[in-house]
Amino acid sequence: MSLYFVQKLLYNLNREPSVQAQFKTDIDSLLDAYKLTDEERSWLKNGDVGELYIHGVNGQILMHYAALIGNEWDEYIQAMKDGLKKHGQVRDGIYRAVDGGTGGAV
Amino acid sequence: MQSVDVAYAEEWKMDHGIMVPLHFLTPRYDMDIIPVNINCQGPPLTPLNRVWEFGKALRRACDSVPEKIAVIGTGGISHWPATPNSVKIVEEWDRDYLDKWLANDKEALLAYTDEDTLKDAGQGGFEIRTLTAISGLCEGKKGDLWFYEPIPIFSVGCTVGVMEV
Repeated sequence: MSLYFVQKLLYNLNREPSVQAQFKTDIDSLLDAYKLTDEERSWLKNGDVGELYIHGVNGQILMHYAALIGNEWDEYIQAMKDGLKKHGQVRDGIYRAVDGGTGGAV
Repeated sequence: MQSVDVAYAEEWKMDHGIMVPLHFLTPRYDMDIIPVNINCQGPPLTPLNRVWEFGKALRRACDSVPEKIAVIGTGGISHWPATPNSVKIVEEWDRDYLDKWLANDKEALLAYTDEDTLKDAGQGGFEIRTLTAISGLCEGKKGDLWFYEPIPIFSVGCTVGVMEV
């Protein structure tokens, strides 16, 4: 997991309309510009918010990505809960979830 | 800036913590604004004693110029923004913090540990720094609470309070 580069990509994606355009028209070349694993490329291409969350992407970055790919707020929250249920605890980044997401983040 | 360390940013896109209050306070955006940020998001977080000193430094800066200046600290109290727990709010923790804030109880306000805050008030609880900075700015004065209500759809308890200067 190269969390830094995943978050760097999402940070740029959140901020820059030109990056958003590239994300929609030529995502492979966009992803090529970052040091990503094949798994990370897959999560980003498929909009897998749950995987990105449990691999440590900060929610303040992830929520904008979720909105960009068309997730409503409730769908975004549910995707993180589903990620916890399916894949287990958050395993990277700063904050962990407690009690499958019902107990907060530590 | 003899007592605190600051940095400067050329590029900065304001988040809701700045834009939402400004939307109501100066809807035409026709007032001069000096945005100030305290890291409340991830470690290394600003130590609370430095937050207090930063508030005092802001006060000295404001007092050194003739303009009438409003200083606004914006941030949540307990909340878990953008996480699976984003509707969670601990009203009791919020009101306990607000009691200390209103009393401007320096010792109590600086006694919070990040470990306890994270456990009891979420990573969003780190934003007490913005409010505690106002306490430092108004050291020795008391506050007045105009509004507090937990609003889960906003993921936070919404608060309006003013401090004597």
